Amino acid sequence: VTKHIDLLLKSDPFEFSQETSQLFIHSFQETALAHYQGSTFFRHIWDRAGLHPNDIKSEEDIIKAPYIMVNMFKEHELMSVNEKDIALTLGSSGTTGQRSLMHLDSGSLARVKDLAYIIHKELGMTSDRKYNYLCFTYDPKVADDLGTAFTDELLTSFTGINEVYYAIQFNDKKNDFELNEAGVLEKLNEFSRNGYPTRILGFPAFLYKIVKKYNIQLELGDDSWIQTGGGWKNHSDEILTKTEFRDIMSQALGLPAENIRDLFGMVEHGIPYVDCKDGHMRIPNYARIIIRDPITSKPLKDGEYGLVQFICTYNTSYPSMNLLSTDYGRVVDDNTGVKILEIRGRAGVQKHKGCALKASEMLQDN
Amino acid sequence: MYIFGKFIDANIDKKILGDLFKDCDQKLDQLTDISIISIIDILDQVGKSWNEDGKWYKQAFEIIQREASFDLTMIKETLDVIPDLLSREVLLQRVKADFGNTECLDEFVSKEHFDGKYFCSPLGKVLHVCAGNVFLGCIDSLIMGLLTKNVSLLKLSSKNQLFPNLFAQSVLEIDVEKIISDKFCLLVWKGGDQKIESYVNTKVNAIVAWGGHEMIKNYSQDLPYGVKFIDFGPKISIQVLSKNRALDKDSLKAIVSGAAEDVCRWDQAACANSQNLFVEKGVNKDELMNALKNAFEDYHIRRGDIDPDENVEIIKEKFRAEHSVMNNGVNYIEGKDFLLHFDESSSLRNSPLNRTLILKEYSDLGELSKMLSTYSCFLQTCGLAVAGNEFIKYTKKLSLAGVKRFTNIGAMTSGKNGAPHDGKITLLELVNVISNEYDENLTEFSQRVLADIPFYQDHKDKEFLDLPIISGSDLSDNSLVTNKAFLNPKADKGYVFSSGGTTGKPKFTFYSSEELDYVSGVLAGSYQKLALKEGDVVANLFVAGNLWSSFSVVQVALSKCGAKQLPIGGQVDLNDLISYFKYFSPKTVFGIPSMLADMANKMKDQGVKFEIENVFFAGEQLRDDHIQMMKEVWNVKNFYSAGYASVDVGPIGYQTEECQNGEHFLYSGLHLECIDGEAVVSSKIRTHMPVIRYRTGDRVQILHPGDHSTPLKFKLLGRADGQIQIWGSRFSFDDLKKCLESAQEGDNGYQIFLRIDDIGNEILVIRQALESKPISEIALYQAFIDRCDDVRKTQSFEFIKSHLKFECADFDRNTRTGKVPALIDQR
Repeated sequence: VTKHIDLLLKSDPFEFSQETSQLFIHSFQETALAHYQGSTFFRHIWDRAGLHPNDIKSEEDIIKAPYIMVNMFKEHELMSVNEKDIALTLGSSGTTGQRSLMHLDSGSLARVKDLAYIIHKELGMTSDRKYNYLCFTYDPKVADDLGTAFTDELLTSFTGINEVYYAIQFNDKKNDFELNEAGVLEKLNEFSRNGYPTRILGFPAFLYKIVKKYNIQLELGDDSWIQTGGGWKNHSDEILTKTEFRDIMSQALGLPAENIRDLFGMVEHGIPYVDCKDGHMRIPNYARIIIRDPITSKPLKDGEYGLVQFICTYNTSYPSMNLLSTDYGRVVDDNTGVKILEIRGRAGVQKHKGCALKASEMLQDN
Repeated sequence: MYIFGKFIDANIDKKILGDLFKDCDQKLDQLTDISIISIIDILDQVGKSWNEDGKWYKQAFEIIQREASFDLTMIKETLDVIPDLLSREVLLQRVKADFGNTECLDEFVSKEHFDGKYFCSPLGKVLHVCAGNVFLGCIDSLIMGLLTKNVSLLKLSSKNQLFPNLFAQSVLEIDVEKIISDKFCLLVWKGGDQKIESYVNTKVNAIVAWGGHEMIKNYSQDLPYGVKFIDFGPKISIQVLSKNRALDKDSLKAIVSGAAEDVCRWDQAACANSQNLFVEKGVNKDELMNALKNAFEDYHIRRGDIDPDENVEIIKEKFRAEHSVMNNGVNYIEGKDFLLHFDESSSLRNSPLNRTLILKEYSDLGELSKMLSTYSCFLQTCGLAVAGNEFIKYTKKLSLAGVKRFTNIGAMTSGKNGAPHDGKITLLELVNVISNEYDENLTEFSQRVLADIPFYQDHKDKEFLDLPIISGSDLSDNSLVTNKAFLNPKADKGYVFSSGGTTGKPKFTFYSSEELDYVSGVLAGSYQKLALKEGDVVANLFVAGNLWSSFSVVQVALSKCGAKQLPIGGQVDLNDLISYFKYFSPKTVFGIPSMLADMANKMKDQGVKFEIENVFFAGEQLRDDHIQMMKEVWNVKNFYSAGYASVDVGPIGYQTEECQNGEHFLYSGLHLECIDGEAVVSSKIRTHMPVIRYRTGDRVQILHPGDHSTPLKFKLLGRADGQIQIWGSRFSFDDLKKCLESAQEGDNGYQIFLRIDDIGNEILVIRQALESKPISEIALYQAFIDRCDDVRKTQSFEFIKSHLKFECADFDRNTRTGKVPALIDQR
């Protein structure tokens, strides 16, 4: 039963009212019940917390509802429906060597596509025009289970398409993916001249690397866009602030700074958190975000940094509806009722500290 | 930063590094000229200055509180270790554990089973990349560098900088003579700085890297050829508890309390901390978990503050624990500062540290070791709690799986001094072992070893054959008691042995410990070639004590042969000897022929017989009557010479199966000249009290001069110097004469006979002419005791009385020359 979920998705994504709150609470109950019935681990967690989905009757109850840490989705294949009902399985990029596999049944898949479209539309990012697409992501023909590639494919569906070029291609000789720099340069030049506006999607570090290395100066035009996502991954030494990145790209590629939008998403969660024109990552009412103290796990107030807990209700096939991530971030209320998400980086000890073996090290060698 | 004795407030750059490396060679030269003992002594003094009441300790306590997150008690307990870590005893133990001795770090020394010599030479300039997890780690790495005389450049961890600098201050203050204080540097740069690291990598001879995988990878890749990379980490340690051991409820409390120690010390930041406890199937899990909970709660030090990143890892683990609870029903336990959970998977897995112990079940040892072997390269310590009869199979299997170290549960983080680390003998990693296989000729050898010997100061640069021939009386005149003319002034550690002489003029000799060990090894080799097998029961019946060498040397040699020794000694009571033989049934005995024959004879009197296969003899010639007696009573099959040796020289010759009576081969390292029929020996084995061209007093005949394939072969023909050998003792004819003079008035003639009586006893007979004045027998016995050292030490007054006879008869004459020989050996 997804009555309230469907109703919620019909509401304005950025309207936080009594009505949308009630819709969210009921959709939470619906989805939690589906997982409670479909996922042994989900049920175990709720039972151990002494709660049942029917106990959730308010936003406060949602805060008390048991969550699952994101690592469990990387370490176990969790799903709440039969395998035969899975329409699409997406894998995360696995920055530290571990990947989540997210399973979507047809209803959940349709809903995630819908909500992504609605959010982008509301932020003025959809269009009927045809665009050139330069995607700094894996070619989905080769890596069709990667979440980032799915996202790009989804994003390119929000407009008409002239051409899509995927820059991270599989090199048979190296037996690995690599950034095709020459191809990117060629396409950028071609796109700047072919009369269609251009949209550049993907990891910011790759785009920054090309622009910096080849000192690019182009005029892509006022209706051209850059939509970044996926963070700076393994390029932590080169991280730019959002403003720096916007300034550099706007100047180098000849497009408005307000058309440079960052997106934060997690494969396990699915809700896109997209910059508005002011560069603020908006939280839609299809989700709730709770920031928790990384030591005490207690919820923190708006403005305080902590671990980001993501809550959504659209997905009834994968029990990640209440997910504690390893991302640090905060929620900022801009005093107009708009909730903004700011992500500050990844938590967890991946850093070198001593001679005791770390999990990531064991993974690298085995 | 601290650079060769100076603190510098600057950021490191190529200029600073360039200047630093320019100084390195000079520092290295200076360091290699310093004795290892001097280095150890300075470190010992530095260690003493780090006592609890000292300023360094107090300052460090303040600093570490700021730099590390450990609980104060943990910091205190770690600082308490410093004086011990740097103590002379511990440092000597470390060096000896790794090298066998300290001298090899200063000079070429001998090595058992190696005919040449070896020297442990520093690698040179060594970069130590320190980890920040346990703050003492970098100091330990520096100690390793200094003990091996390497110029040590420590790249400090960003997490641990003030403490090493404070340590450098303490060294600077104590080491005013700059023995070590200006031989090391403490450097700081951001890890991964390619420019600095690439430059340093081209300048150093070795890199010691402590830490994580990423750092190890960064430093090890693209290293210039010839730069040795010694990595320590990253590693994981585990505990194993078998069902049989867990059944012992009395010891379970100690095991869980030990488990808590292994996990909680340093909040699990060290590679020796346990991360997984493997529990054999059949152990009561709930009971064990509860016992562990109590132990972790009772641990005397609380966990230090943890940062959010670390806690996120623990939160992740809690969810893994929840998943396990779902599947195995064993509740996890979350304490105030620890997490214990029984994992659903039996595979090795990292703990998020900070006192998180993951328990895992295994069905049997084979399964456990197979699983662990997948992670072989990461495994380090295993704390074992298994039943006594399981220990060997567990350690064998788990060693093969990759475990590098076993301890009791509870002792994982308290390493024993001198233990290897990560499967490496750490100090040995920091040196090149240089072998010296150059064979000096006798002139080269003599010129080298005699340079410091007072007696030879006028003969320093002479050719070997121009060196003076030394006799026993030269040694008596310059015994170690009267002066040390034959002794190297540096000779200190070793043995002093009596080598004869008279009461008024005793003679002593000195062997360094190394020389004695070498000599014993040489003898052991010949015993093994002849008959000795490992595990043989051997009775050592040489007379022990009294500064005599035989018993001691044979004891060491037998130990090297792997014999099961009965160190009985030659002066044992007969009844005791019989008991020992009955209890232990020796296959082989060592001793002086006449004494052995006497023992056999006495056993015969008591109607006792034994089966002894081999007799190794030394000290006097083996006579037919000896052989007969021992064959009769002990049924001896084989008689072997334990070697032709003298205390003054050491081993000279050895026998093989092919040698006839008296025939010997010359040992390697010995030189034999036959001058006027007498053996004149030089030994390359002895350097502390050299033996060059020494007259042995033995008559020899060289049978084969020796060549590349065969050693020199010679035959012993008897004494050449009027020495009387009887009763297992040796004294000069001159001594005997003086004894007689003191027991008899006037100048009387006499003739001495050495005989065997009817029952096989050696008898010394004094024949006098009929008209001679009577001898005071009591005075004569006493004179023997007073004058003849050897006799006094081996025989009693009563023995002499019964073995010394008098007769009045005409003197025997040589039928050819008509002369009356003073001594006639009729044995």
